[in-house]
Amino acid sequence: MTLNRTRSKVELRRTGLLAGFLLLAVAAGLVISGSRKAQETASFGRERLVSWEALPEMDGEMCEWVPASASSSLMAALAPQDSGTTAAAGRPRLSAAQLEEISKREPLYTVTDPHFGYAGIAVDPVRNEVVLAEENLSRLLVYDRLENTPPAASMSEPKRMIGGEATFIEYACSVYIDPASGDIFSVNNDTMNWMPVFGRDARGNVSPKRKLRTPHTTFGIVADEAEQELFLTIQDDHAVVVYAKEAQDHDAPLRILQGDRTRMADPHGIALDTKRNEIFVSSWGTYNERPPLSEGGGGGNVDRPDFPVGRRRAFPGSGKIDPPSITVYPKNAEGDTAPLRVIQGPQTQMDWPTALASHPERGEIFVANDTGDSVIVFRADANGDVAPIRVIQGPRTMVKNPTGVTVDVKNNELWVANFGSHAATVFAIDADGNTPPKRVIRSGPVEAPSPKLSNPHTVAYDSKREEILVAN
Amino acid sequence: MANGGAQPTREIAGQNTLFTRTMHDMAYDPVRDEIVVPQFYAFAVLTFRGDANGNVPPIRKIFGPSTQLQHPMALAVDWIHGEIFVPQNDRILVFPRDADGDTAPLRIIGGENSGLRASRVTVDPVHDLVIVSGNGLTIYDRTASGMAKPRAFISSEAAREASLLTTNPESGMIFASVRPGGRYRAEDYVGVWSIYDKGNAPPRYTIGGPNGLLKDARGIAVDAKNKNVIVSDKSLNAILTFHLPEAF
Repeated sequence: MTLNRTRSKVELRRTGLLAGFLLLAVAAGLVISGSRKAQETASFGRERLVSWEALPEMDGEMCEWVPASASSSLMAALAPQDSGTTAAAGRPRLSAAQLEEISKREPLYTVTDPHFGYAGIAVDPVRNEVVLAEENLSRLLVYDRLENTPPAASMSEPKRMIGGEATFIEYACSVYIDPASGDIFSVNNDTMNWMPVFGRDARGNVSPKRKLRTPHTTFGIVADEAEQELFLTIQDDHAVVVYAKEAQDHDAPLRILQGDRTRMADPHGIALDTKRNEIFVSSWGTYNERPPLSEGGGGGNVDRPDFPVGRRRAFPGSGKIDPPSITVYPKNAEGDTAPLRVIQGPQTQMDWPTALASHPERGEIFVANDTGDSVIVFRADANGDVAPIRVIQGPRTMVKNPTGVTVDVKNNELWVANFGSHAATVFAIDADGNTPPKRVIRSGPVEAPSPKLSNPHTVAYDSKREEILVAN
Repeated sequence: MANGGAQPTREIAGQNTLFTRTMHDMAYDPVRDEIVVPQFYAFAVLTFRGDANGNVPPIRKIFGPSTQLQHPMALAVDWIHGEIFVPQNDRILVFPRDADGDTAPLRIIGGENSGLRASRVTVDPVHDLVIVSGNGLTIYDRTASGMAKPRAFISSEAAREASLLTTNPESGMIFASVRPGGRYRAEDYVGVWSIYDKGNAPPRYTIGGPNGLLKDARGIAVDAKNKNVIVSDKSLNAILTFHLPEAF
């Protein structure tokens, strides 16, 4: 269904993905400064007085730690009787009523995206549906496969949405659809170390039919239907974990691919070539060294001995920076296995290669090339510093910060989730160059700005330019 | 002032930046006009020009075995004395701002068996203080080194739940995102303490909650000129700017 309206404010308060800074213009500011000597004034930039007094030395032993079980109503605790530091600070504490007023003060400004931010994508040619993982409201959205938002329309309404606290979906970045059952596998990248699985008719804030505990920072997903196995990339651990496809709860991985010889470095996308029985993994390029997996797993954010060697066991100062790559392995590879081939180098045009898809019959690998604003295509047997055989890029393509890509082999179509343009775009499988998509599903107007917020962990303020800096 | 579905004025993103998707802190240096970012996987500290835009490389990177960096998640810049502070759980590594390449820390606050649980750090370069979050707010002399005794420790329940930090040196205030837990309840808030607080001192002000708007408060910054506090919320997926003149 297509609607010529925007979604409700309640429904649409958040946005999507893209790792990088988004620098958002705001108000005026100035540099503050000072120096070490007491009662001194310093200036940086325009003149500005800064006066201060030295903090008195602390006498005696450190204050005792308050036991973690201590608790009290915060507002009651804010009452001015307890700290005894008011005089030293030279600022009177406010009354409880004043503090209550401040605590409920509305923000002056709120930067948020009123539209869905498409991140991951999977197509279901059996049931003629497409599922988009979106990172603004943390929803899975199901559309008709042939949905095509008219140019004058604001957006297309999904047929079904799955999201909410019960669903275990948070910042879903990738999605997989079981071709036999239509079950939807949703991969959370950061804040939720579970992979929920939903029946194809699920909608709303529903519990998944099952969920699997995963290592921290899962990103890409692919399944080997012949072997009934599930592959997940793990950014934190520079690893691939392989599960039984029906694994759930705290089931252990069947095998782990991890180690220096694998050359994985911040892996994101993964694809399976069922004809060559190979898996392809795209890496952004930075990593660190750890003890070998042969010495035992564990030590990660989710600390289990049957998980990859985790972040806490990394060697200090062992960070490495490599160019982005696609590494290729036998699909049954495990341990510290070297890749069969490595696509890497300046001719590849890779620029944050974030998602992969395979077309085994054509012998091609498709790459969602995030900051390249492109989809690049390699021959499946490509090796070394090779140029893509096709590049979908340019203003007519509507490809902007693509973070999801999938292939519909049955209908010979290529699908792209564009985080930067509120759009999922559909191309002929052999599309090349600055080609317009066959169809577009949009979550917002064509010209709608995109704040590109996703999982905004930190902010800073640039007082010179009066801008807010946001890391996503 | 950015509001609503604002388009970014510029983006620093792409392969040349050496960024990863995991960026948990950054700092702006108003004296040098530079942006400093920890790189979580490469164990590096990256510095960019303040006007950086697009797929640009850092102008400096602290990186290599001498750095002792391990999954740096947070940092703070002392823009007056030219130092970068990187918390690493039981220690805080201090680097010269101009360091480039494989550089050892100038000094280390804490160390093995220090009892320090440094999660986040901020610097008040006017009062010469380093403030550290991690099961409380610990205040050190800026030049502290080794097992130096803190000047003060704020141990209140709110301080123990404080995470990301910043300061406004003019008013001697510490701003922290306070996260009692969970991502779906509006329990989070920004807590504001004085650098003179200690012991069981509660925040002098809270904004955005508790029981207000914030559900998963994380990043925090101040716009001192306009007396505003800027906070990111991962659950709302939003950047909120509150006016809090009382704290400036």
